[in-house]
Amino acid sequence: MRRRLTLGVISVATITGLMLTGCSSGTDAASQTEDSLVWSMWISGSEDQAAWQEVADAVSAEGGPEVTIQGSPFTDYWTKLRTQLSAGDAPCIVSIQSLRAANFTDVLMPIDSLAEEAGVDLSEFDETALDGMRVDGDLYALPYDTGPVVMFYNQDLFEEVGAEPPRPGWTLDDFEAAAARFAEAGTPILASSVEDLFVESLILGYNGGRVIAEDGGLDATDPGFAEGLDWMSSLVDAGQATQASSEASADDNAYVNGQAGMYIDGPWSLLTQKSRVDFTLGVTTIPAGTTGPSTFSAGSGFGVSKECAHPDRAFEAIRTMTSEQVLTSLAEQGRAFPSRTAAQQTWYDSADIEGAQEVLTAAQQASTPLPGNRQSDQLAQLLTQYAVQAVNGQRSGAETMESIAGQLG
Amino acid sequence: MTSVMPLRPPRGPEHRPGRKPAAADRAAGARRGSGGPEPGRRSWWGAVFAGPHSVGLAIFTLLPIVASLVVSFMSWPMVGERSWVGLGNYSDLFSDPVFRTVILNTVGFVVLYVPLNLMISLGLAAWLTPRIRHRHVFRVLFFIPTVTPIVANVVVWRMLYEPGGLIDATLDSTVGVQAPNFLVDENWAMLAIVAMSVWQGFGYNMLLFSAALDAVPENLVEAAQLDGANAWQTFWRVKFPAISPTIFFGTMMTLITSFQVFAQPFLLTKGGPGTSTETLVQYIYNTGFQVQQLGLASAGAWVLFVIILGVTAVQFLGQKRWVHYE
Repeated sequence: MRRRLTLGVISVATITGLMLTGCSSGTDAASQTEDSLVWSMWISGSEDQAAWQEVADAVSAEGGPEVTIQGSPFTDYWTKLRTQLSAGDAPCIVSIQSLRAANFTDVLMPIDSLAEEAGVDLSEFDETALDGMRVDGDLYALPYDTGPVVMFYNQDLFEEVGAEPPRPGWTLDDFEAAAARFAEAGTPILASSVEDLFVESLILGYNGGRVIAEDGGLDATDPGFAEGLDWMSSLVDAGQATQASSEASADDNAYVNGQAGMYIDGPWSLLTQKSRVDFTLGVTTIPAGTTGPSTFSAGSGFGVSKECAHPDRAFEAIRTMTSEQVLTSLAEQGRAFPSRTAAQQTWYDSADIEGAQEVLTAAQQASTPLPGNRQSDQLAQLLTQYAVQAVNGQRSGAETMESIAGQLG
Repeated sequence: MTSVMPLRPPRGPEHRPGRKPAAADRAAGARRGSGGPEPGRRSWWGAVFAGPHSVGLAIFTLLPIVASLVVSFMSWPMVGERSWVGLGNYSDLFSDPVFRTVILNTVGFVVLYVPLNLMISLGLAAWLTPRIRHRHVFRVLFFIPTVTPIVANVVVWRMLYEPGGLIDATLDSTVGVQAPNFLVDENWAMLAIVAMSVWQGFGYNMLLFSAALDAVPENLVEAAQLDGANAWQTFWRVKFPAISPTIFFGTMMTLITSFQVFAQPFLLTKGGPGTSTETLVQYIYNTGFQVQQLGLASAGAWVLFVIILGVTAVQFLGQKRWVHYE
């Protein structure tokens, strides 16, 4: 009897113990040491995983710590990162997007002094790329890629409808002339998007309207932005643009399937899209409206979390991860438009798209980093919910932006 | 009736009424036989076997439930200072027009979805009698949407709903009418989500009802037929009361899960256009992970819990009127 009881108690204890160890072993971020750090990164597939694994391997090959990738899909990445950071379970190395840097300053470490101590020459980085990672003058990440928002177009379709191919620096008038040609042929020229970065860039180019001011403050009721939405709606109404959808990939798909002449995207997608389409892909700047050529730029980089117990080692790692050698090898694979000017030529060579260099240079010059804001994730969500109505002509731009402003509080 | 009965080979359902007392007798006999010397033996083993599950339940269910109740009375930003606000979160919620909208949206979804789901699943279950050839094939076919990942279903339904998609293109080429842009039109978006959800969800109830109908004692049905009842009367007067406990269970589960609807609107419309398809759970998700106010989100979750509890309680009170346990 007693033996049985003991047996029972032991089995309960064992199972409980197993469960508890099971809980703790899943979170490897908690067990980081000087020689083994965790790097959180958005990963979209096995090919992606392999490419970033090479970057991680480069760190230990250079004598740095062992870096373990903790990947999650891009859409879940920010939610997961936030949750981890608030639970005190932060990875040391954090991948961050320029437009979201401001949301994470409370958990990221300013790295200016680390960079200075390590003797990193920041002037080798693209100026706009670095600016994007600065919040209130402090640098929060070393960028690995950058890119002005541009437009990808379907050269074959432009030829077919007899529209003038868009040159870099083309104006709103040029765009509208081409749009009219497309409408005559029964195909919309533009695949509409309501994704924050893209819709904000298009409207910035149209009339300078913006929902996030230069200082990063939110101004959802900016009349210029509302007018921009009305303009997009007039394009839809005239059959010059597709109806907007809440699905982020709707515009990409419409473009790839030849249902629209062009769409808005960043250089980071250029090579992927080039391999997807069965027509000649062209790239051009956002049409310049009343305020001259302008667009937003965004990039990504690696920062060090505040909770990290070994910031020096983490910085050593991100320094290697953004070294010229690593970025050049990423550029060869066409991963990302490098943030280091010295590596950019390699990217152009491997991209092999006619006029890409001219377009990207022009766009980069006309670009300003899209500033981040604490509420920018919420703004992005609200734009998907509400801007669809404005673009599809169910509500006016001003009404739409008022609703958004009301929810942002 | 009595002359007909012995002619048929004995089948499962007919044995059923007899089985229960026999099993009960055996159980009672076992109790009598082993009562006395070592009653502690089995109860200890019971605790041992229940132990792991109870520990899991306590750690992963009870503790979080209590914690979320506490959190709902606090201002709890994901990063930053936490403070006690009492009922502040609840008053914030009820003064937020968006919260009222999402409650109405959720109720609207439930009111449309639950009856449609039950009607279709019951109708198909009634049709799929053993007399239908290849009924197993149909059962599998109807059940497939339930087991397919919802994300995959959404991709397919998006292709149906989109401008230029299957519905639009078919209407255009046959009648020459443009279909509305279902997912971004305020008036259509919720209906589109309900349609997709019904397709996705009826399979489970259908299987449940179909199994229950198979278990209705054949002699009852036959007696009704001999009394001159037609198929309609047989179904509503005999079969339906006989399977009413199963229908009650199906209704209850469908109600509960439909109040928790999240994936379909989140994937199809992101809650838009505007807030016309934003449901309570999506509101909780947005508040928690985008606005990063865990206190407010917990309060929202407790409101949902109370709603579900209330609806379930009403169901249980109402069941006496229509659910018949033999």
